[in-house]
Amino acid sequence: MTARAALRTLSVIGAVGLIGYGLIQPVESEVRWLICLWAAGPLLWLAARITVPPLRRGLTSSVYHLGLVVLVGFALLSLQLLRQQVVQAEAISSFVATSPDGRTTSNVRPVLASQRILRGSMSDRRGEALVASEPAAGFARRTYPLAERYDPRAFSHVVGFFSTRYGQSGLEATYAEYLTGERGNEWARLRERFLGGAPQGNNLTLTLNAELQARSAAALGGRAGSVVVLDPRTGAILALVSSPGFDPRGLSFDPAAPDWQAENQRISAYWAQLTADGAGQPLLNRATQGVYPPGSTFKTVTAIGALEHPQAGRPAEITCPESYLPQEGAPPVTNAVADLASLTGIPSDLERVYAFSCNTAFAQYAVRLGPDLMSDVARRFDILPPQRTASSYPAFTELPTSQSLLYVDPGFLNYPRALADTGYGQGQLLVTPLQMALVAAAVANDGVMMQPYLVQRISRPDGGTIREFRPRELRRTMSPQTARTMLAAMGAVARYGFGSSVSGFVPGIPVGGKSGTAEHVPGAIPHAWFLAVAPLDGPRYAVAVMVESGGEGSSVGAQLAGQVLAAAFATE
Amino acid sequence: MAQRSFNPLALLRRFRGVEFQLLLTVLLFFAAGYLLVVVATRQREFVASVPGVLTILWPSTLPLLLFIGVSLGLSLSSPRADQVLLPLVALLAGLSLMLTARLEPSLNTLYRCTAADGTVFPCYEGVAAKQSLWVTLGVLGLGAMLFVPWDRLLIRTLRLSLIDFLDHYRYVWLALGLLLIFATFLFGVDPNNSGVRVWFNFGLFLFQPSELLKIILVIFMASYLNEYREVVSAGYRIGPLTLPPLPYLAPIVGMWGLAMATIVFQRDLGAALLLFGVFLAMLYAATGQGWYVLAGMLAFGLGAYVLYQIVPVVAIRVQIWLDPWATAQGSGYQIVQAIYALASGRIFGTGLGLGVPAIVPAIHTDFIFTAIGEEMGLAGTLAVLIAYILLIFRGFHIALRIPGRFRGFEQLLAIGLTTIIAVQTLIIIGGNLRLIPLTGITLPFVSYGGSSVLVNFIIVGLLMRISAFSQR
Repeated sequence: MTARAALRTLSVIGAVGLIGYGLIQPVESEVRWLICLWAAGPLLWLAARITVPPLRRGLTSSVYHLGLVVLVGFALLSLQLLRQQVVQAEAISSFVATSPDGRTTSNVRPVLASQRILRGSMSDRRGEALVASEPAAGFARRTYPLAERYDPRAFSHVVGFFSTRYGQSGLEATYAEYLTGERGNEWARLRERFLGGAPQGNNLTLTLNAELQARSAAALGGRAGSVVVLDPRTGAILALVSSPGFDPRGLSFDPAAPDWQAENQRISAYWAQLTADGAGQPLLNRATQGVYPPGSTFKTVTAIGALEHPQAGRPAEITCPESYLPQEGAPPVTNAVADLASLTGIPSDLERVYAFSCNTAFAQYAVRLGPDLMSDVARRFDILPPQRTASSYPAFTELPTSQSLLYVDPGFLNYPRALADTGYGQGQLLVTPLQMALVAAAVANDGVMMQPYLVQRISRPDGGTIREFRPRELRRTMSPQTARTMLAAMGAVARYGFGSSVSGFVPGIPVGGKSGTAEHVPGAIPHAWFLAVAPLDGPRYAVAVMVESGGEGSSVGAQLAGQVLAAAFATE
Repeated sequence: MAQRSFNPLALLRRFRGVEFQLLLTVLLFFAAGYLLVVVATRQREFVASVPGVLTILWPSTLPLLLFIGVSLGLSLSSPRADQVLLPLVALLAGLSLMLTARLEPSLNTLYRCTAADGTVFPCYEGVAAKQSLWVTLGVLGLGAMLFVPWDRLLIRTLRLSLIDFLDHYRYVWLALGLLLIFATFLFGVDPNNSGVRVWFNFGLFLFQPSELLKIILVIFMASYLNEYREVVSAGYRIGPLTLPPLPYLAPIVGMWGLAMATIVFQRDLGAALLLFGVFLAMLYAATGQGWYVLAGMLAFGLGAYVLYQIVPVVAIRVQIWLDPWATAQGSGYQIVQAIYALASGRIFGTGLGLGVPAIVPAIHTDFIFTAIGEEMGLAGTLAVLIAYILLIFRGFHIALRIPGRFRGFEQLLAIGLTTIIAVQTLIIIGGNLRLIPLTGITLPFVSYGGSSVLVNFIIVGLLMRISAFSQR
């Protein structure tokens, strides 16, 4: 009897051990689990057989044993269910199988679930719907109400695309968790889980002014480039255009389409068109990811350096010679225009050399400041030396960004000639249009640089607020005194300097600006830049425009910035 | 029923209260589930009023109301028949109606067939309505088994009761079974490109003869084993050796072998496995000889190995079983999708109408258990398993309640019929869950399919009839 009990205990322990070991086997080695399970079957049967009291041989006994076998069979089924539905369910659901011919198979349910969610909408600062969702054939379709009034390409980089095939970009990607409702309305999710109903995501209210965004893109008129308009007081992004753009409708799947295969082909054809060589990289957000030499717009930073460090920079003592030799053996620095001194006067002052964009003057400032002070002032505007910097700009994470760099090669600024070039915006400077807009905004906001932001509010489908974004100071970049001086200098540019044409677009409103003509490849048409702030008494707009290989900043750039400013005031 | 009592108290004593209560519970379960399904799949708009609910429920509850009618009828005719079988069958049949109603819209959007003239139509249109019809016919068949006075009719014509009639004409049944097999060879069709020609096309409907074959085989074996039980279990003693009673085993082995061979030639592996399992179980129940089972399993292993070598279908099935992921886009697609479906169910399931079970091919027939797993989760699948265990053990219980050794045929018949349900359930769920290689047979009472539903109801009808007269 004790031998039977021992045998029973042993077989139970054996079965439990085998099952326990088998249950933790990963999906790839399921055969091992099956072997364990099948081996545990006879052990379970043995244990049960010992437990059943011995019966007289006959039909009753046979039926008992038959029932026992059936019971063990059902026990094995239950154990397999336990593994497939509970223990390894998560691993199996997300298991991706690759067959020998390279094709992959994965669970279709997460994809379908994402297509079924009514993703939240996006609207501009006035509540105008830009992107929405609607139910279509049991799934959800991303719709673009913005396309009814505007060119959808103007908004492509901000809102991004939503594709079941190619993923997401822009705010669709950044705020995916909120837009799908995964975050923010957990309670509603729980309720949907039990009571059903189409899951609905949360809505984004952007800081964007849709009308301004569209008009800015129209002003760019298909040229490659970007426009950034900030509210300098808050850091709110009012417009952020990168051209060329794309039509997000071209990548969004319509589940109500009669032929899904044709629908998928349409999307992959458009994707191929966007990613083709020679398409001009329409998926790149030039405003935040594109890095360019800033040209003379960077003189703003150099001037701030001189004003903030008056002992080293001596801002008042400046001249504008025809050429300036910062380093023996290196070619001298020259001005873009001959006989500039006749305009700036001899001796000159900071406002006049800034207004007439005198290279030799700012080369001198940079050399006076030296590499350390130049790095210091650039750092205040998050234009950093290449060492130990992140690849993206950490102060703005809502869209993909690039970090702006003061130079590329280590030790570059130790060469006086390199330092001089950096002072007037050439050298190895690589900055994003957004970064230059932040420089203009800091000047316009009394020296305080505000953190840029694009989403001001996330709300539930019922309208309740989940998150509200408040303006946040990044840092004070300069004293209020310096800021006032710089604002006056920018005003001088627009009043009488190179770039005064910008004033013609906004009659009656005093504006400030700074042009930039950035050489990038020797002999090529330079990039046209322009920074603008308006109105000068209490600026509400800080603008940075950039046209790739656009020409002169003081003409092409100023014209574009003027049009953008005019649109900003017109759409107020 | 000549001396029917009109004493109300006696009538009350005859009332099958347990069965009635259980059936009402099943009816409520079905009504709630069916409402949920219809509303969740947006087939009808839900109106929260009594007429609104009733318009959704009306035609589909008819089969379940018939169950209650059968129960009340039994209270009058044979109050002592088993009271648990009927509610369990109603539960499973109700689940079947609920699931076909849930799956039909998904099937209609996913699977489209092209007719000969080029028009495209949903392959499985009307599945739910047809299943309601089959279940209704099944309940009517069950009622016919119970309420038609077969004994009186047969005694009048053949001087045999129904059970004796089944027992007595075993060679007629054997011949009928063989005839069915050969007829399948000659007239079998393959309507849905499953690769096996095991259906008869009767114009209006398709019939799967192997479903009928399993009952016929069980009747034959029960009768034969009952008559030769002593000889078959004893064997010849020659000195110390006990030889199997080969001459007496020959007819059943021959019958079984013929059935197996034909089925294997027709590639209907599920039916072959089922018949083999039932054969072994009945042999064991009749003789109590474990070594018969061992020898049978050994023979099966050998046979399976040989088949694995020579029949490509078997080899493919085994390969899919061992590694479905390798051919996830080809032959392993069905089982891989079933694995994903079960895994996404978790403990409580996605909820009826909220999963995507129809991705798994043959979800409403062979793979209906995975639909339960996805939308009702482990809770649902275990509940269904428990329902089957109760059903099977009730069947065994009926067999054991039959008194006396003079009714061995009835005992063996009850065991055989119950074993059909048990083995069939184990084979198909085991195949669904990748516990054994997949062979396409139906899940009793739950899978869509006319022949399967009808035959299973007749099995239950026979079981209940046996139980009704077991304690006289």
